[in-house]
Amino acid sequence: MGMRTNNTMKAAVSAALFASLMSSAFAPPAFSQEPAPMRPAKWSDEKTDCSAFKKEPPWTIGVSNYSLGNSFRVQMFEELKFAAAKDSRIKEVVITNSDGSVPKQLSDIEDLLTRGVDGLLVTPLSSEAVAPSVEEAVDDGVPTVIFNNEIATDKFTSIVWADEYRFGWLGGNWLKEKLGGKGNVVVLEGMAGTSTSDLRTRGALEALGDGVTILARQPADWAYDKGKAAMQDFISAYPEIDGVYSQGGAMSQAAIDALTTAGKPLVPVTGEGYNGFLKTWAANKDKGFASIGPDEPTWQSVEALNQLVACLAGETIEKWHEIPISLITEENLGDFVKPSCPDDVWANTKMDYETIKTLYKCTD
Amino acid sequence: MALVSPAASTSAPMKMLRFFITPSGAVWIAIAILLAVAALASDNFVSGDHLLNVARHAAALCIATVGQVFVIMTGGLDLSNGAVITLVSVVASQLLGGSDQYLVPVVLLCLAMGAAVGLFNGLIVAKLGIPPLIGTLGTFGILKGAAYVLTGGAPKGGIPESIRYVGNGTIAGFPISTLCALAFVAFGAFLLSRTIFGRQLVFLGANPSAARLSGVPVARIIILAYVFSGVSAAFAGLLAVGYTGVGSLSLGEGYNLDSITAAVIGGTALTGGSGSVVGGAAGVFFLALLTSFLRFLGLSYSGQLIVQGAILAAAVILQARVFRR
Repeated sequence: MGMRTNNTMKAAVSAALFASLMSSAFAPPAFSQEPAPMRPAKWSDEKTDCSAFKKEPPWTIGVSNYSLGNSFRVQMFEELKFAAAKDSRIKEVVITNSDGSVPKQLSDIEDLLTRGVDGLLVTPLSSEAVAPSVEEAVDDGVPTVIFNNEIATDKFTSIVWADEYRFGWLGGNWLKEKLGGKGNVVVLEGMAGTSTSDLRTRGALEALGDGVTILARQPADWAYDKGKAAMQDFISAYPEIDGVYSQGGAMSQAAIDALTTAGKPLVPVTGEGYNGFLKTWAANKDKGFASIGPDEPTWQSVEALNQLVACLAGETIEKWHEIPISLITEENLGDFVKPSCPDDVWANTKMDYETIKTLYKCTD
Repeated sequence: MALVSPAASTSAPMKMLRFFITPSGAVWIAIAILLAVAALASDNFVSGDHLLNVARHAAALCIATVGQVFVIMTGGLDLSNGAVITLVSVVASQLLGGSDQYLVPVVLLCLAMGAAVGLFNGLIVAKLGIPPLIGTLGTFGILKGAAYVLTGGAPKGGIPESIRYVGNGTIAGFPISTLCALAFVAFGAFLLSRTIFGRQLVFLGANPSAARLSGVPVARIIILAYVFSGVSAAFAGLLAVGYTGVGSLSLGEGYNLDSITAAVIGGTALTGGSGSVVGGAAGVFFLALLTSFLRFLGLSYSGQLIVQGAILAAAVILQARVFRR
């Protein structure tokens, strides 16, 4: 009996090995070839010489944010405050929030300049509408670093940028490999009309390729309730769903919950470094649930601050600064998930655990 | 409630027919047409499971709409109900922290918060004479700001299993949240048609000066209507957060306009004095069915928005032009 099992095992293992060798040998090269970065058209290796902006510390930093509407953005600004508090050269950080309004953001920047801030960080709500204000700031001699969106002008000091297209591509590519290149997929998108959502979906669809059938696409704003409602509709509408491409946030968690509630098998669902999702992933790992989390760091704000501070110190800095999209996988999931913290924590953080714990009231 | 015509002595089928051509009856025809179209377009849409899912999604909006109908019947509007829902979700999440320990006091606190918001709305509308549109929009802003302050932008804590069970669970296949909504609709309908408060409310909405002259305590009734809407919103908030399991600053988004739309589709006149709680609930179900069906069709998002907008506009025009001449 033992011998038999052993032999069968051996056969199975060698068959699997052979199959995987064969498949890797014959896989078309495009299968896992990374796409070229979808950088803004004007992207360059240009540097900004900040000798003209050099100023003696302490500095007051102005930040024009356009929304605190979701937990990702909230943490992005907590990271910024945390990092700024540790830098003795920074006297004060003044953060404004325009709450989704372009006119308010323009007047916010105006106010910050009038206040006499030494440097400016901007997350533009509209890359076009905010551009003149950024130009004005630079003309006023205030170094201005853009992050979290693009800007429709060359007149800025530095831009910190993450490749959302690649974010989508990484998730889509993983899902395609998981499904063996074919199957029925439903797509949960972010907020309609935002470049983040648009680029992620484009990257994912490109990676999924023609072999995969896209049954339906639905914007659900990265939100749990909208994601769950959309997923429940998908489940009722399409009896055969082989995988879910979700842009992440709480939508991925909602998709898993919807599958569980409907008594459907846990097909692969892509995610992101959102703790609520990571906890659900960890809890269902043993039931055969597989996922991946491309991850855009919340500390991109800190990278922007570092650029600005280097500029105020008179250094020469990168005009275009790319931050990496990392991957949360089955293997490193344990390093990222925070079981005793609430759902709204983002895993890829540069704040220490004590700060996270106090901020989010983690229980352990 | 649809005002029953004096010629009520006609036969039962005639009565039914009459009902369907009243403002609050027409919505049922709209639902029937939508279901028929959906049944032709898809095999799975008109199934018990799916319709129960739709009813589950509609539960919180349905409860908020019951309160909204009361306010609209007085000739007012409540734009703050969505902000109450958001606030309740974050307060419950933070105070409970995922545990049942303070369940009863926290639930009561949430309902009391809703009542207090309603009281505030009612006072500024009835006593200070501020137009409801502006007054309750102000409250909306205050509550939204309060939710930001309470959470520091990021909701903490969590919702315990007990509330999640009410938001997510089923009894004999029926979503508990839907059963709660149905019970609340029955309660609201009773309140409006079978109590002195309800009858006075209808009267003052239809003709405020006549009501005042007849000794109806107009201000008190208006204030009570807003209080009822606030409590409805708080109850809706508890159900909604039981469904999602975590407080969220965007949970209540859209509830104010959706509840007004549902009320109007259900035959409640924005001018006050005429309307129906059951009709409002049917309006909510129609909205939820329509959203789900357009998603079901696999229409692009922009297509969904356009079709949904057009159908809603048509429904409201029909209400205003055909049934209410």
